Amino acid sequence: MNPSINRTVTTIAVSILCCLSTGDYRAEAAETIRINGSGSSLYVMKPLIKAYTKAHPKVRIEMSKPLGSSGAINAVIAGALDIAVSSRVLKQKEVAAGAVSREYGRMPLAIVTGEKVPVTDITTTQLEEIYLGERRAWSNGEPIRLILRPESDIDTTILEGLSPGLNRALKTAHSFQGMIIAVTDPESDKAVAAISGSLGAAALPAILVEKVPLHVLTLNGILPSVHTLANGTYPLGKDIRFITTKNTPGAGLKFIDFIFSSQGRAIAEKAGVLVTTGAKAGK
Amino acid sequence: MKTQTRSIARITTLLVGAMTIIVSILVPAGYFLVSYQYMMGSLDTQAESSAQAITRLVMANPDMWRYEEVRLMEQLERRTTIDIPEARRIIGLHGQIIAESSAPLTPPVISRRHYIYDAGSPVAQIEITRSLDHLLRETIFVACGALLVGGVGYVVMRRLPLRAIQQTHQSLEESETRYRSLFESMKEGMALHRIIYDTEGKPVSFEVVEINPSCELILDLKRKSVIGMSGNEFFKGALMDYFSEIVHSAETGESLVFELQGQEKRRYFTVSIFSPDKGKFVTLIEDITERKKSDEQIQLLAYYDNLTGLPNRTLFLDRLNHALAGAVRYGGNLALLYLDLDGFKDINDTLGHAQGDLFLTMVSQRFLGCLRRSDTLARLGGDEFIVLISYTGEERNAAHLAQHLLEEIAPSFEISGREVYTTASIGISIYPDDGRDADTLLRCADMAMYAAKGAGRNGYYFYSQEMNRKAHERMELETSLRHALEREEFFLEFQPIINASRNCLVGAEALVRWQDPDLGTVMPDTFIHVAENSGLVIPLGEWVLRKACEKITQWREAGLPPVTISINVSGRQFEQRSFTDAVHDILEETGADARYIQLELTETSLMRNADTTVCALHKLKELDLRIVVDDFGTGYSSLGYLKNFPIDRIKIDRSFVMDIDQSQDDRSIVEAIIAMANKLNLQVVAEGVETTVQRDFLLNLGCQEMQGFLFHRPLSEDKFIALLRDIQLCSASFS
Repeated sequence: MNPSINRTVTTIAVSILCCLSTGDYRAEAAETIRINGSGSSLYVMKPLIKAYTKAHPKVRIEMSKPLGSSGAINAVIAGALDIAVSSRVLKQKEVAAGAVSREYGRMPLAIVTGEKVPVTDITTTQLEEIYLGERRAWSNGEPIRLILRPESDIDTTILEGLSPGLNRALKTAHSFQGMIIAVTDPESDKAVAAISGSLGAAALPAILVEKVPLHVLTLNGILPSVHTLANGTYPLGKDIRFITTKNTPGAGLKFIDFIFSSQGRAIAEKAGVLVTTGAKAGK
Repeated sequence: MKTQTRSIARITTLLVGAMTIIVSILVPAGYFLVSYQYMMGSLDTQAESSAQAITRLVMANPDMWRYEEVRLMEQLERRTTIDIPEARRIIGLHGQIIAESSAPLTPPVISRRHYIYDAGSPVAQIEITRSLDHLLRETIFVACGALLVGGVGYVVMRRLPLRAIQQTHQSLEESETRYRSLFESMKEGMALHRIIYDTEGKPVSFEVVEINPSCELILDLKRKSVIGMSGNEFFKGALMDYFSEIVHSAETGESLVFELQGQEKRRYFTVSIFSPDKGKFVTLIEDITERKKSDEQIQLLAYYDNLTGLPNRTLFLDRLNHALAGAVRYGGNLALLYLDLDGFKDINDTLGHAQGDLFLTMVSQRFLGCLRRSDTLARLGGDEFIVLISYTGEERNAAHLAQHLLEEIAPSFEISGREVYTTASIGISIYPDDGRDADTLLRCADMAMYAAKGAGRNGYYFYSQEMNRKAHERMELETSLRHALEREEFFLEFQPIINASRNCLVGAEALVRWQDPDLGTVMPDTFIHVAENSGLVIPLGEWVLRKACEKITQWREAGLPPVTISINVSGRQFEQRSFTDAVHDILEETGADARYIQLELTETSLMRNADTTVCALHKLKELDLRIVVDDFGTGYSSLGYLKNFPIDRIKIDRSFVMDIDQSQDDRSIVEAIIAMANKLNLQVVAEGVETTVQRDFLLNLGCQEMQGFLFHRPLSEDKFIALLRDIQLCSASFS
């Protein structure tokens, strides 16, 4: 057996034992729900939590700064979280560890710049040129300062899927020295907002919920929105799904039910999520 | 030397090999260690840096940090270099992996860990692992390079010095072989010596260190027996005579050359000294015996006649010139006698050349027998000889010699059983009368020789006619004297010696006279000189002494009163070693009373050899004889001898007496002589007193004994006997 798998299995087993040993305590304290996940997903969770805790005052939902999808999934598996909000599908080993995924919807991933950037639209070709380093300045002469995400990040994967050229261009951009790589969604959003001449990507809830001062560009003339994402004209969408395990407390599951409820979906769509399912689903 | 070379080669090989191994091992080992340490340091630094970064993450989110996978991965993947594969892990305290960024690593690997803290307590560790594969491959590459460099270095560093050493040794060996070959093959003897010093550092001797074969031959000793020989043994200690010079030469580097006579006579060596090193010296011994012989032979050929061994014309001329120079500087005469054998051509034709040569050799030997060592006889060629003599007296020596030479070759020569007779014609030239240079003298002698030939051969001839005449007269006189002695043609006269104040007879001086049948009575002035030069004065003197003694005896036996007789003794007679014995014998033979005999000797003959004279005079005095110094004041007067010699009287020479009445100087001299004699208690006799004035002067001065015509002329024996009968004898005559 592969030693890393062996270690993982051992870790999961230890986590399960921990969960089992603390199950009674967690049942008694079910009023607290620990939730975390990708940054953009957590933007969506804020109005949902606000609405749910308003309806259930005894329930306290803890949501610390975003761990990212993988971290949150691992934390759920390890019992450190009750619910993970992920932008990606579960990996085989995560499923094997007992993770259960419920798909919820998609968020448009917008191409954004700093507010003073003098463009409103950008094409795939232009993006390829910019990430390849062939185009280095905006029309006003200001240098284009790319805000990249880690190569393994889902945002990078989504952008790479836009065109084969952009796939190569992003890999090229990552090989450049001195590039800014934002680890989490909020860091990326803040960087794009703060840096002059910046160019990056941000999920629509960042603008709608978090009100981050970003300049959203139309991509190939298409404005990112739930509508353009829904009709398929806007190509870039970021999944949002909920991960639980069998150890997830009932309070958590109830909160998920609220999210999947019509009230919940309405709040989510308002936050910029194209809710694609209404029933429980697993993978 | 080969052992030395092998040893140096071994040492060099070991050293270079060791250096090569050190280079081949230390360089890659050093490279590996340094790189390893650098890698460890780098890993340590990166682990610490990452641990600090992750610690900040932990503190920012202490509960959920371990789930911040993206951030953790971002930290793990933040690398300083992407070329070296690494595995980075965040490991929990229980060993579980929290995050991992791992590339495949080829063992062996090295790891560095650092703790991640939360509130000062470790919560996890970051581990960075890196494969040593790359470093090992680099190290192997470096090792290969070092090995290559070491190998090349080994070859170069071993070969080059060894080749240089081998070349040097080869060159040294060749040089040594060359010099040893030279040393052993050189004909000169060579010996190396070490100077021996005493405890104070003073050189005292030397010892032999090495010799070559030629030196063995010269010394006639084997090398083994010579090595270690001391200076006193080597060359029979001959070098020690030059030891101080040798040491000086060795110390200063100045060369020293001297000549040595070998251990065997007639062997000669030139010894050169030089110093090759401090405290050592080399003797280069060259046998120059043959060269010396050759030189002598060359000298002989150049300067001597092959046949007779006599000096040839060249050497003769050289000696003649030397003699001329001496004669010019110191005075004196030279005589050249040019001899040519009469009728030699006939002898040569009759007997043959070989016998002729033998004859010439025999003649030359006879000639040589007539000559003094200081004379030179040379053969000018053929049957011509020449004699060079130097003298200070009369030239009649030359005539005498010529006569002697003629007489010497007169007897027959026996050649191959045959009796051969020869005569010679001799020409004589005299320096400075006939010439003052060699050519003139030779020419004159040659001409005189031809004159002798012309005069009938078997004779000699002077170049100067006057001299010729005189010489022949003298020779005739000498011949006559010789005959006179044989025929007893001499007789005695007696001149009385008178005491002028008492007018009594003191004694008489016996005077020799020659009654020649042709010339009549010849006075001594005429022949004494010839007798002196010819040596006839010796037998003549003996004859006079004997005759006087006989007369004394006869007179005594005849009853005449005893009277003292003075007898003159010539210098040549007195110089005879046997003189005193002869006097003794004569006294014995004649029975004469020695007390009535007094011998008169001149100052000059007494002083010629003062020590011998003292001895001889004492012997005479032991015989009871009286001694009178004759001709006092005219010769070599040393007042000292008056004290040392046992003399009884001095006789004032007639030259002082002659002018005593006119010359104040003579008077003063006579006065001084008399005063001195009185003081020394010596009797004084004045001779040649011819006037009463002279007599009176002498009497006034205190001289009483006189002899001269004033009193008596020399008397014949008869007249003297008559006088003895008539005159009164001084009672204390010559007592």
